[in-house]
Amino acid sequence: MKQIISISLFATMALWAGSMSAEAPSVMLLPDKTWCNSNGYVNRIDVGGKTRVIENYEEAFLNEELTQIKTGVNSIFSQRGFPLKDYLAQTEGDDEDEMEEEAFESAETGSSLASNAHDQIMNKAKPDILLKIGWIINQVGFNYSISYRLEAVDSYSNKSIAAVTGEGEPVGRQTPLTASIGESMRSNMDEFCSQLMNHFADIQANGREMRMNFRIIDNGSGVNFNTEYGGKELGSIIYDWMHENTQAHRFNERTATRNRRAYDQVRVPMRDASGKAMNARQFVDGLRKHLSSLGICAENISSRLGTGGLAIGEK
Amino acid sequence: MKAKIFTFAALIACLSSLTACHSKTEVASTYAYTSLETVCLNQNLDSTLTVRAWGRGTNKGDAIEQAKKNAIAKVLFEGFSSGVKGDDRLPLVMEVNGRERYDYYFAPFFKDGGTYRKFVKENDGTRASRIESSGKSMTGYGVVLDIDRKALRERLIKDGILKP
Repeated sequence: MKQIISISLFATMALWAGSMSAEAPSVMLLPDKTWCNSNGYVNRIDVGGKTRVIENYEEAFLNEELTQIKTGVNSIFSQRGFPLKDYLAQTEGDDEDEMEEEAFESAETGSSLASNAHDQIMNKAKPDILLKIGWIINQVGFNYSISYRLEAVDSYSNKSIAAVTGEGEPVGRQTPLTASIGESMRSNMDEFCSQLMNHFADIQANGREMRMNFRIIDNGSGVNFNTEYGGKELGSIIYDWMHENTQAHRFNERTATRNRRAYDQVRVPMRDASGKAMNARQFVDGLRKHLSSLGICAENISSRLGTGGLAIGEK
Repeated sequence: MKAKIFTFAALIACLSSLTACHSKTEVASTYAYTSLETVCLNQNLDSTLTVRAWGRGTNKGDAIEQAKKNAIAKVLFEGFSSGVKGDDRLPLVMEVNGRERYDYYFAPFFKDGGTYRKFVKENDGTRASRIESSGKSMTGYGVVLDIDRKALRERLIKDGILKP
């Protein structure tokens, strides 16, 4: 009898807890690199003699198949409490801002910084999680089936959170892709979404994982990470600040040379002391202010959501 | 005779329903050794939060006091990811590693019978609202508590832990 009461009580509580609206992470859907490459939506650029393949999302989102897939996936995730942020809507909304910014920068300085369009969108939309999807349509006579792969990536750390692959049942050619992908994915999505929520709960409790790169600007001033300020080396000042300001003091010093300090697995709290959301730029700005109070000049060069950068020596 | 039987049956039914109302709920002893999370049951219009909190101790008094401490700690340092809207879901102390930084303040705040008790009370304190799990060496209690979040915030501002 005791057991029955116990089981029914906890089952009721679990159902009740599940029905409450838990804060869900913001999610953005993107086609994966393999699909973009297969369909010609990539740009090849030369960086320091090495060819880098960059997805051309703006062109890709004009693809009819992707639009249908996006609608199908959006419906699945909305039903589970994860409304998707629309990449295309975000880019279109930002186009006017960018044009104004470019005009302003050119007028002020006569030049503008080279920037990555994808990073700009990420910085503005600030999704917690990126969903990367790829698929192949297999033609079988008058029917077709769809094979898909879906991976969730933390947009701050670029680490994979969850991945799933699957294959749908063959359906008639008249069946829209939106319905076909929805039907194929439905059975896998509960576990997938539960992994997303677990990851988000971990972020809320332990902070976002980011990377930090601090460099010395070689301007002949003689400053490096071994230079002492108030009897303490600059490298140690930064290390101590990182220790004080990371969630539960969790970070790893990856590189420590005279001119470079790199940290990974840096757990940055989701919000600052006043409750504002924090990304890499805001976190690094805290360090910049601390260094400035010691008379050390530095510039915040963070360009991505989850990668902070500081150039020490001049501004 | 029929009327007597009917009255007697009604009396028995009434007594048994009264007993059911006032009896605490007992659950399996394994829960006495399990940590359960504090959940918000209601966000009240008077700026208080009603929560179900859990505590463990060697006796009932210890366990209920621990549950109250856990509930206050949740509001101070963790906040709620569900069941609460607006700023009430955020922790009051948002400074990174705040508990550790202000240990000199929070250690006495959370001592048995400490200041924390001024901001938490059992919702009704009846046996019916309590869930008990008795192990051999540990007793666990789930209690329904009211937390005065607004007064707690004002106290922390007054004591210089939070900025106004």
